[in-house]
Amino acid sequence: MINMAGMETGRICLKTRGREAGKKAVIVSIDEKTGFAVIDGKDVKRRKCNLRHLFPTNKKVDIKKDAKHDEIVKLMK
Amino acid sequence: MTKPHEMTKKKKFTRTISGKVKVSYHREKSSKHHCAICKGILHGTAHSKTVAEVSKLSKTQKRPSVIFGGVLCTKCRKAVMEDAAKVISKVKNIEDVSMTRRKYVDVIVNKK
Repeated sequence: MINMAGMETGRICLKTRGREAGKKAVIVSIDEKTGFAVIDGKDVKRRKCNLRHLFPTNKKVDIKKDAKHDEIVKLMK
Repeated sequence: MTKPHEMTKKKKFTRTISGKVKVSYHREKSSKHHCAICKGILHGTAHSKTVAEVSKLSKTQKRPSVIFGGVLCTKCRKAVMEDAAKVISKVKNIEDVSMTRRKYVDVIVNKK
């Protein structure tokens, strides 16, 4: 089972695995059945990501349902 | 005095059928790379090749293109990232992180 504590839309996470490890990303949407989330950020391209490869921080941004890449980059600053 | 070309090689003494001892020379091969924290063997690094062979390879063939690639293994890298996320969200102080991981956590926290 995946630990879903703190995993919600708008949460800023740190990637723990893969080529983009150590970079910050915002969760745009979550699919709980498959255990995947769509992430986006300043250094990270918008893409699907396994929830096991993310670790949440205490920061959160308010994003709309269909926010674009440029809006998310502005909010992350 | 030993010749300079012999110093870079490994010597192996073999005895022939007629009773003579002959010396055969081998190029020394590079050893496997190990994780800086857990000492486990690293994947994706150029090993068991001679020094000349490794120097001809491209940069991407020598180590994985991840942060701390060729230094830390995947398990230790994940532990470092989770500690860094706790320090960024001010749940944990950087003094409380274990001494072995603190150097690597400090790199990620102070990144732009």
